Amino acid sequence: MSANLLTTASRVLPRMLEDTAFLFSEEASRSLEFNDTPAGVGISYSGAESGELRIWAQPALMRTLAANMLGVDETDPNATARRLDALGELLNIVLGHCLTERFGDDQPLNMGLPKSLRASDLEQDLHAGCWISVEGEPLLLAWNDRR
Amino acid sequence: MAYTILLVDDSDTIREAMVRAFSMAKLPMQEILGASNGAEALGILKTRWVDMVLTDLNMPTMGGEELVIAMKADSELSDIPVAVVSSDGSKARTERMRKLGVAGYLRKPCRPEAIRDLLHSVLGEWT
Repeated sequence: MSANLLTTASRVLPRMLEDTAFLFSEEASRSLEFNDTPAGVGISYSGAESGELRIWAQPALMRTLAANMLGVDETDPNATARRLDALGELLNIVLGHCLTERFGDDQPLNMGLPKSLRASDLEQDLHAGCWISVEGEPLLLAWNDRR
Repeated sequence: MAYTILLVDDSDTIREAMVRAFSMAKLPMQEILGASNGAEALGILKTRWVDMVLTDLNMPTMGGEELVIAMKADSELSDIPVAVVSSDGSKARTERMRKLGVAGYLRKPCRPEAIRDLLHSVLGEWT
């Protein structure tokens, strides 16, 4: 199940990134590396399947994401202030589309709120996650089984 | 005529992006008010005149569905049009919200043009 959700998310994410922030991305053919400390956000869900979708990104990409969503320059203080919120909102949008795609739209989605992840959560996600290259910047998607 | 809109979303980023979309839509705006959940929105609605509410669904403290139910049960608020902007685009949710009386439903991510069209359909055309 986890591989399926991750597969769906890695396919849905580029479309959502383009639509929300005009950022182009593709699934990386190999493991990438973070060269700055990333921040992570997770959103849990329940229903036909329960789990948590997670996303990790470096501050620079998060700032670009926030700036593009807000329509401001990356040097704007708002882009820095909103970067974690923007990452959480992106994940919220991606998860909403993934769940509908996987389980159909006959049931309302049951999603939690974006929650900051601990640095210690990264280790397992590095091994089980899916790397996406966003205009050259690494982004990691992961799935956590909460059954 | 200029409008006062209440945006209800727990994401500051989304509220600010919506304000930008309103500007792009050239909506004649008197004021844009913001709330981060349904309870906060109800507090504002008790004290301020609002022409329309745009709300997310999944929020802490009080979600959008509970907000709509509370507004419809209050004779002073029940006529204010409410539209939903949510990442939940399931038919089940959309139909449930329409049965509760929402005037429109947009799925995130939504383009400024879609927001403009929604406002047109609820508030009427402007030039």
